[in-house]
This record gives sequence, structure tokens and C-alpha cells, in this order.
Amino acid sequence: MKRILKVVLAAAGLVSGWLYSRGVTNPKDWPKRLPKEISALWDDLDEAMAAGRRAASEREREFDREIGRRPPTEHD
Amino acid sequence: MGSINWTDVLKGATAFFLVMAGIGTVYVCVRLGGLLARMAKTVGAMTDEVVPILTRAQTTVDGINLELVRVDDIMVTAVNATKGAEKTVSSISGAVTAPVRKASGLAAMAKEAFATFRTRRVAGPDEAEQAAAASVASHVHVEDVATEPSPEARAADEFRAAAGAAGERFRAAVADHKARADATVPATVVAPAPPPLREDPFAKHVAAPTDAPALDAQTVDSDEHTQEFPVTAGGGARRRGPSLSQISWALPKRSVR
Repeated sequence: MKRILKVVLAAAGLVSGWLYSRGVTNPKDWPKRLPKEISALWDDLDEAMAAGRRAASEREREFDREIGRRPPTEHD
Repeated sequence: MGSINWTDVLKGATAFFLVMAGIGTVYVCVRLGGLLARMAKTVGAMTDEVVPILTRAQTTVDGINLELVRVDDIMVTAVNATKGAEKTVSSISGAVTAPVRKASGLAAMAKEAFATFRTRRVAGPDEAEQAAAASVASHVHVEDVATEPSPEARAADEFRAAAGAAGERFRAAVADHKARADATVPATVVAPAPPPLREDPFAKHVAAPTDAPALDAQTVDSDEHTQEFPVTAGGGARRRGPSLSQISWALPKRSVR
């Protein structure tokens, strides 16, 4: 039970610190801002993943150009 | 001794000639016989010597053909070996380069994703979208995209700003003119009914400020620059928008580049 309590307190502390770092210094605003921050976080993660996929495809094309190899197709 | 019979002499000479010709012919025939005998002997000897040579040459050519067949087999084997080696090298290259390619892509993906995430977290969504747009532009190899606005966009912005300033001056001049007209017109004069409102000539270029005085038809139509056009059917004059002098006065003086 104590362990669960510690984990919950640690999570709450982390969330509070994260919200504070995001500029929400007033604890009264935390319940309102937490869903927005989580949504923004997921949006940022989605954007980062999309940018990463674009960079990966571009790097793979450059790699194929460097070794003079045609890009693999579905038949390969 | 009697007389010489020349007929007998001729016959004797002919007989002598024939004897001598026969002797010569026999001699030539004997020599030709010897020559033909030697020639037959030589041809026979040559035949006896050439036939084994031809036999050996045929044997040699057969051996060469056999060797050529073997060389052909060897070449086919070498070509097959080369093809096999090429396939092996290709397979090895594909087996080696595919993971490297994927690893390189994953590394670039992690790097770009981390940079984008960090940029968005630090800068906020608006600036991060601009950075993402710049990143997308760099990844699609639009390297010549300038960060500054294009000359057309800059000229349009300058024109909007100049039009806004000219509009402000225009409104101020109209208000001043209206104030002077109100001061000179006696209070007993009843003004005619104002015509419908006219569209602001600068409203489509700039957004009208909220605190700017609204243009009404009376102030606009009372301007001295308003051009009048004669109307044949109605008898009188009707007014149509600002005149050319008004427009040229209101617009900024643009320098020729």
C-alpha cells in the first residue's frame, strides 16, 4: 500500500512539475490545462514522428543514391 | 656418164629428209618417255609422302576441335561461375546494405523527430509549425526557397501600407473639409437627402481601423475633387466615385526603380 502511495505521489509530483514547467504556476488552472497540455503533447509527438518519417525516407533515398542502387520495390 | 635425172635427186633428198625426221622424232619420243617416267616417279613419291602428312594434319585438327569443345565447356562454366558470383555478391550486398539503410533511416528519423519535438516544446505550436514547414521544405530539396518574402509579396505589402496611409490622409482631409463646409453653410439651409453610401476605395486593400471615422456619403460627395458627369436622360448631373485628381492625390508617390 505504501508502495502504491509512493508511486502515486511520485506521479503527481512529476505531473505537477511538468505543468509548472509549462508555465501553469497556479494550481487552480491545472485541471483545466492538463488535458490541453496532454493533447498538445500528443500533437507534438505526432508531428515529430511525421517529421522523422520524412527524414528517414529522405535519408534512405540519399543512401540509395550514394551506393548507386535502385530503391527496393515490393517485388524485391 | 649420162645426164642427171633431177627427179631421182629430188626423191633421194626427200627420202633422206624423211629418214632424218623419223630419227629426230624417235629421239624426242625417247626423251619424253624418260621425262614422263621421272615425273610419274616423282608424283608417286610425293603422293606417298603427302598422304601421311594430311592424315596427321586431320588428326591434329580433330584434336584441336576437341580442345575447342573443352575450352567452350570451360568458358560456359566460367560464365556460370561469374553469374553465380555476381548473384552472390548482389545477395550479400543486399543483405548488408538493407540493414544499414534501415539503420541510417532510423537514425535520421530519431534525430529529426527529437529535434522537431524539442523545437515544438520550446518554441510553441506556431513557431514550431513554421520550423516544421521549413524542415519539410528542406527535405523536399527546395533549397532555393528564400526565408524572406518574395519581391511580389514585398511589393504587395508596401502597396497595402501605402494605401492604408493614403486612406488615412484621405479620411482626415475629408473630415477637415466637412468641418470647414459646416462652418460656412448657414444653419437655415436644408441639405438635400444624401445619396446612397459609396464604397470606400481603400477598404479592399487594407482593413479599416476600428477607431477610424466612418465615411458617409455626404462627406465624400462634398469633396471638391468629385467629378461630375452630365446625364442626358435625367437632366442634371450625377456623381460617380472619386476623380482622377483625387485618386492621384490620395495615392502615394512611388519612386521608379
